[in-house]
Amino acid sequence: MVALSEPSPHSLTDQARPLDRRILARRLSVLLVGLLAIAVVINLALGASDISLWGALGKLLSGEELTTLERVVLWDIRLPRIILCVLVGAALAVSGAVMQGLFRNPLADPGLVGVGAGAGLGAIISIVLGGLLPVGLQSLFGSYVTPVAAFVGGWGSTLVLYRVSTRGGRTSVATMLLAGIALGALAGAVSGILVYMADDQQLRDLTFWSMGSLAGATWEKSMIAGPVILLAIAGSTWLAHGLNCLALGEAAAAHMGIPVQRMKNAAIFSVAAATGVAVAATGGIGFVGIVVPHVLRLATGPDHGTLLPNAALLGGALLLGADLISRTIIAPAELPIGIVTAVLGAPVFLWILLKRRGLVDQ
Amino acid sequence: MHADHISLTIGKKQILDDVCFTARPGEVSAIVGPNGSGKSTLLKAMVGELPCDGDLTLNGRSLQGYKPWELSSLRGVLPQATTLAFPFTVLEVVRLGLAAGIDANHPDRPFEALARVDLDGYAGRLYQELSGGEQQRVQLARVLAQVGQPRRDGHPCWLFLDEPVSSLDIAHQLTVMDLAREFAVGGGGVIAVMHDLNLTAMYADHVHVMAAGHTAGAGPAAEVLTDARLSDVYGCPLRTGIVPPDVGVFVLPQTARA
Repeated sequence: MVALSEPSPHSLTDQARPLDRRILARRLSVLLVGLLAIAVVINLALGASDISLWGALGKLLSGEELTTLERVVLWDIRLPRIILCVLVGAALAVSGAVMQGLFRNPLADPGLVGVGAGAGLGAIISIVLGGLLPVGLQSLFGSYVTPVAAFVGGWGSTLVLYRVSTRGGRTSVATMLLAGIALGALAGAVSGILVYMADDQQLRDLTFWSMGSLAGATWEKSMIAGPVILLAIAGSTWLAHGLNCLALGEAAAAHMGIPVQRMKNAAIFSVAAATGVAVAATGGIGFVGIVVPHVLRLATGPDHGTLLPNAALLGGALLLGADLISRTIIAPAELPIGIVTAVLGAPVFLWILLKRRGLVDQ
Repeated sequence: MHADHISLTIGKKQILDDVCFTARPGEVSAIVGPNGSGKSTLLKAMVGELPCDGDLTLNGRSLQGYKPWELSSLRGVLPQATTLAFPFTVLEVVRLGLAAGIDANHPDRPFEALARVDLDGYAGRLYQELSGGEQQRVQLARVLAQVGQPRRDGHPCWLFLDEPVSSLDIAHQLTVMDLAREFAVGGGGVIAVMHDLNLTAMYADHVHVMAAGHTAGAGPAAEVLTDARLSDVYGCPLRTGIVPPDVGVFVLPQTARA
């Protein structure tokens, strides 16, 4: 009788100890690395030119010379594009996750709340007015002028947005979204004036930049964007515990030993750096920063310690997928990648709104 | 814990006016008073959430002299109610407290803390789906995971509880107050904002009565909770220790521990 009524020790621990989502998230990381690798290979193999990746690889292994076409297509066109694509996807997804943690709201996304537009304005200013800089300064910054200007624009708009929509540590989501609309409109208007002022050469530069596409990817762009984005991602992983505590509120985070103000400044800085550089490299690409963190939170929970690295991996893989669609669906022409991500992401955004109306109707 | 001559003004309204408050380790200190008398504000001022004039010392050191991470292993603060921005599980919330404390990543500590607030088996549940009273107990478990021991390195640790039993049923009110008592007996200090005068009388060694931002009395419960003071402060005729004739049913929490 007694033996029967006692639950077995095994079932007791199972009941008392639920599955640790951190373990789940680590398994997911392995899966995502695999997914990213597959996406890289597919993007390397497929494209407008019908050269064979396997043929080229075979030649490389047997020590044969590649044809010029193979070298140009694989090494000068596809590979830098893949690298930039992964970097930008990771930057957008991680910035989205950090911003959502900072604003304590799953709808905050740099692309939607005007940070992208601010960074874009910075980039346009640098293209149109960059010539006004002293020549010495111009040659000092070189290709960095546009990324730096985009970073400053993104930083400024994040700060304004945070000041406007957060009072006493609480972010009003409605205010945040509306302020984002206003910031976006303002940045758009000023950008419009600058485009009107631009000369022919600048217009060409602007058009290439604003297509929001990865078509202009070069090794140089990857080399500029790469270190900044990788640093921003590494930095934000270091913020993970602070962001977790912030989910309980600013006061609670402070009582848990988080230097809240410094942590928030660091988060804003890293979002602005990653978004700014990404926007400077490819133009505005929306919704990656909303969709990726949301899907990951559904799968393995909101712990930023695992959310941020997984967001980088999934963001990279997702943007590679979107780029593949944009390159192949109307080949040899290209669909701007921003259109692809919007078609995929906007419904997800609406779905989040529908499911969690309480987020906005406070 | 000393708070000397604390004054605090929000906008034009003076919320606290020259309040002096002392709590000793080994005791449960309760702050009571009517709504709007400045109880919670006093607690928030003492933990540094609200900037105020006056001197605050903890364990003989000025509060400003502590680094945030030093304080977090010495002092736990339980807010009135906590809403979460993201769907964390109960276990993940409690683990956040653990990471802020001194023995981070102890695998059993979160489960022990949950067991102490009578939430065995809740570890895998989503915090946002719990009732208000359950959420309050999860938060207490988080604070207990953060400041697990009443004393550390010879120094007393502190719990600051803002209405810790406000949304709990009577059995869990007693559970939580027993925990506070236990923490104080172990040598730690507990400072709690309380509404229930019966529980205060049962558990508090030291009672601090607030009225309109002033101190209206401080000392041992038996000396402070007098007919005259309570009637005056709360603005209605109150009498202690009297069973009025012909009142029908009444239930005192004291009966459960008598």
